[in-house]
Amino acid sequence: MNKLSLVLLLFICFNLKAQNKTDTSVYLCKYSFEWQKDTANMFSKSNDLMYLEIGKNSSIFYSYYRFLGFRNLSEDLKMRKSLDYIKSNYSRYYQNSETEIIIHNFGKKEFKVIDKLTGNGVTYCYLDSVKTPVWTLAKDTLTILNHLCQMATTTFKGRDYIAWFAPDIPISIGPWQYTGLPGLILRIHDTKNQIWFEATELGSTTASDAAEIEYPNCLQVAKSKLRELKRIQAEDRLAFEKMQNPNLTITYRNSSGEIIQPPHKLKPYNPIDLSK
Amino acid sequence: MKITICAFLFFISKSLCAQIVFSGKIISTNNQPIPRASIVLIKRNQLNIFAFAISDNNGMYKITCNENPDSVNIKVSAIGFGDTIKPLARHSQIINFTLTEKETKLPTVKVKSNPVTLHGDTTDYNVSSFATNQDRVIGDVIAKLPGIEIDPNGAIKYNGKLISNYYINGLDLLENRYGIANGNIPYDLVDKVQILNNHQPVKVLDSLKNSTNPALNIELKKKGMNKFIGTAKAGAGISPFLSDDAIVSMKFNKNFQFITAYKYNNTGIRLSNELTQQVLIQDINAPKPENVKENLLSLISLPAPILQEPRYIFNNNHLFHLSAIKVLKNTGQIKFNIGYINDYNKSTGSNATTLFLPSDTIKFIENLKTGISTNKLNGDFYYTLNKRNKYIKNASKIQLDFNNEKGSIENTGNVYQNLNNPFYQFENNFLMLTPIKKKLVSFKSNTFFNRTPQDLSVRPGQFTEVFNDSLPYDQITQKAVLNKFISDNSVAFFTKIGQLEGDFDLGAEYSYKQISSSLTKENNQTIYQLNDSFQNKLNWQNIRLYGNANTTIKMGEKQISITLPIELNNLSVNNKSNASTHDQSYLFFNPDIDLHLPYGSNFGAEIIYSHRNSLGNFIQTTPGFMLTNYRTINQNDSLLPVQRLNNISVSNYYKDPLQGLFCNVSVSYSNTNNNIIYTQSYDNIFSKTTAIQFPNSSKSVILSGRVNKYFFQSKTNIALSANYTWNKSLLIQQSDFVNIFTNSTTFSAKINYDNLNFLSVQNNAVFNIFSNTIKPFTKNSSAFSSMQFQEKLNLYFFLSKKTSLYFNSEYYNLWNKASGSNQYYFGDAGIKFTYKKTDFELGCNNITNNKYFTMFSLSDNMRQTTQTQIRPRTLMIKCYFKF
Repeated sequence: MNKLSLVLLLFICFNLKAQNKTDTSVYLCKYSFEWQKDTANMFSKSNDLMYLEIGKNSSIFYSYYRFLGFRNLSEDLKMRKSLDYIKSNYSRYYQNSETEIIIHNFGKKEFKVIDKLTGNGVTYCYLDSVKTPVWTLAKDTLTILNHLCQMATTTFKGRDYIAWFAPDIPISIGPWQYTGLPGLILRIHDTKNQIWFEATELGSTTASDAAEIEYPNCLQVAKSKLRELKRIQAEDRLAFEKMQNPNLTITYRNSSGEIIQPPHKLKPYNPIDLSK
Repeated sequence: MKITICAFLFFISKSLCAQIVFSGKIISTNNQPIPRASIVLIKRNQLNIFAFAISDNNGMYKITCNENPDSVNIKVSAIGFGDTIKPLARHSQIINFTLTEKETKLPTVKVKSNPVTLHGDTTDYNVSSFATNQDRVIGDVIAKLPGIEIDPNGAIKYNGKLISNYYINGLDLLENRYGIANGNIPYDLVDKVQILNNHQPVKVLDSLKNSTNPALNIELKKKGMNKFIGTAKAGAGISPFLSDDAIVSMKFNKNFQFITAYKYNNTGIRLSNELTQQVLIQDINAPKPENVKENLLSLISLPAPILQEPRYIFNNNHLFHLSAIKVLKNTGQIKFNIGYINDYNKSTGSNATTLFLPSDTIKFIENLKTGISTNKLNGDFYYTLNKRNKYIKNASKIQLDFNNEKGSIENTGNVYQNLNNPFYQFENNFLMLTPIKKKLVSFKSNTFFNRTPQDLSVRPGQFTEVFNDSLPYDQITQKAVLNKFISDNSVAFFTKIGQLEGDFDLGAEYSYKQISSSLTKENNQTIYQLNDSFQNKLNWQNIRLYGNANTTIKMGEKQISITLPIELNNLSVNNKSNASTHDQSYLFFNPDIDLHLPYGSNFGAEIIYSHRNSLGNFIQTTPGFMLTNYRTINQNDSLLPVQRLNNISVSNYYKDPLQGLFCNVSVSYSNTNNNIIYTQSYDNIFSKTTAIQFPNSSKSVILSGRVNKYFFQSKTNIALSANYTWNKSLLIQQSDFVNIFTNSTTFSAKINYDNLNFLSVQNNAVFNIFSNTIKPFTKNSSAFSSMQFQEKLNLYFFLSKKTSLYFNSEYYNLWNKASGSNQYYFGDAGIKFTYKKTDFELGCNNITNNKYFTMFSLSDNMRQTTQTQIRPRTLMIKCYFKF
């Protein structure tokens, strides 16, 4: 499958859906997100820009680049740009950005996790109860974005973390699924430095279009099922394709045209959540 | 028993006392519960929170406090409400809070693209924060980064320590030829320059061997990835006709990278600098010191002036190089670096030499014209597999030099010298680390062969009294061939027990070296072979068996490394000239102790002690006379030099990248004991050096320090450094023992100021004092000294985004006790502008049209005053474009 068809598969039916605007005014915290996708290669780090929009009753956490990529592609398709143009401007669509969106419902203490797999274009979602990490406070302080932050440590979902929270912003959440500190988390990273979120901008805003992104008609799945699908998609794309289409036959040939066994080598996969 | 019960009750009561619970409800003024409010306990007069709770959906909270809550406040805050603080009593209690509504709006705060950020052991430098309009390639920006310095030979140091690897997007494309990246990758393609502290490049050693070395990574922007990037330069000027052209192409993919370039200039830019092999620390494939070219013969030429090379080099230089790396499906990497240099370099000038001898002073002047033609090809081929469970690296390198040097000298009469100076070398370095029965084992094999066949012809023949019964003759020709073959093979076992890391090596090295030389004289078109005393046919064969135990003990962040190598050398020297053989065994013990003492993340110290016994250079054992240059004959009496070196060095560093502050100070002392001493005897300008057995020692002290502060607000980088070197050595001159003491002190200051939109300033000042004292044992000592001051000022005025002016000035003040002072001023100016994506540069160099440069140099017992012809005023126009 070439890149272009992948783009089209991903976005052709991807649209904005007006959602209930429970929060019209929100706090916005932008995080730079650095993620080492291969534990054996310290240079396999990808970067993303994540938005955490915090309302009175809920928050939404998503990749701004993904949103921007969608918007750019929608505009290009709307303007009937040629396929050559789309091919040559592939980087405008931010295909490698994080696909997961996390909506945190404060009252129900639950996360709604929505994810659209690039491998099959299907949107999956599940509800998960909020599990608050047990934090240990430290005395170290650091100023981030003009806010004095205090250090706290925890072990959460298979990783040891160091977090820096701002007590003068009494919002007990942070990026991804980190919660439970008496202040907004402005920096959090695991001790192996494979996952690193750092706040780069903070402010108040009105709920934007970006916060209204939601993949339509998501398919409810068990959390374990989606995690398994994501693992297979990342580690073994061929196995993933076969799972989606059992009748699919793929033949591998060498440069002389002879049929060879497909290379069966798992690609590295290092999700944020390492819990069993 | 009573005591036990009392103690038990005491602890129970204590713990009960310590477990104090505060609970309650948080409501608003209209009696509504406030969920998700923060309730924190803070000691009075302190900022830190030591306990906290978050209210639930009903506004309820509960804090269990394990500390004595004396002098503690409880603070409640929630978004949309004002904060409330109350002092706490020392017992469990219910405390309810009513919060008053208050609109809170977070002020917008945005990170101003931090110039420097820390991510664990990685320091990121944001390139756009340090780059200015006059920069062209990434090397220009790296040189300005706080904490980083680039040596004149291109080696990069981070806070005084050489880097161990240079990566481009995580791939080590260039190994130790990273000058290619520094000199060719446009800086605007680079997002970040990263310093990877404590970098261990071998994954299988990651948890076994701690590294304290820094590495550098160039992180490219997306626009620098996955596409061909081409840059080109075309330049022309006068006088004579000057040309400066380059075409560079590169591509950086995730699994494939290449850089290739062709360059030409006759404007004095030495292109071979781009292919210089930089020293990398912790290079596990590090070549032996023997596999660099050793010159047996040389041409007398002018010492290089202290000016920048383009001011005095008259060249005609072509360069081609191609470097590529491909990541294979098994994550292995193949790569090659191929480079070719063609150059013809001319120099003209005069050299006045004064030799201070115990009983005499010899003075002579040589007017020199030399032309050096260089043809040099190198090819490096690598295969690397770097996995968590296996490491393989094989490096095959080939080097072919076809150099020729010609020169004429005028002193009492004209002398013509011609040196054919080729060098051929092949080497292969292999290393594999793999677990065997759960223990990591390494196999290492380094093998090389090189050949240096040189011949030096001098017309008319010199040393007439030695070679031709004091009668003039036409020509003398010295031929000398040096062949070396060394194969070093070892196996090592790695282990780790708790905080103790160890590896044990066992190895054998076979060395075979061969030198042959002969002298012929030519007179009246007849060639005469000179007798055996002017010939050398020497074979050297050494089998070195060695065992080495390396142990590292970690105590927290501190670590001590002890290396205990023991080696047995079985040496056999065969002199075919007189059919004699000399066999001898040497047992050497060469321990090393290295203490690495970090204090916190910013400050640290390193103490190194080493003891080295080594066999000296085999070239210094040739018994036959050799004409090493037109006025020196060399002869040794076959004694093998053996050296014993003791060295201790202490270095301290401080680094705070976020504050832009870096300091390092180091001191080292070394004492070298030698078994032979060199005697020099002079007859007019002609000298003869011989080696005789006489135990002696030389000592040296080196002190150095550097402070670098980057002021982020004012974009100002200041680096101050100081170096002091003291040496003492012993020589025999004209049969007299002399002690030679040398002192050299250098201070330098470098300032970059980039804060103004319209101006960028770079200033570099260096002040050096050198003194030299010769103390014959029987006569009065004599001393001489010199001073040098250099200042380089570069000003860039940015008239608009597309137009800038530059002025470069250089000032030199050279002072010498005997000759007084010489002052020089150089000025360059030009304009740069952009028209339709092409950058143009019109410049005039050496505006004041200086044509000669005179400098003084001192060494041991010699003082030289050198006048060199330099490039006159030149006008150049250059254009740069991308494709």
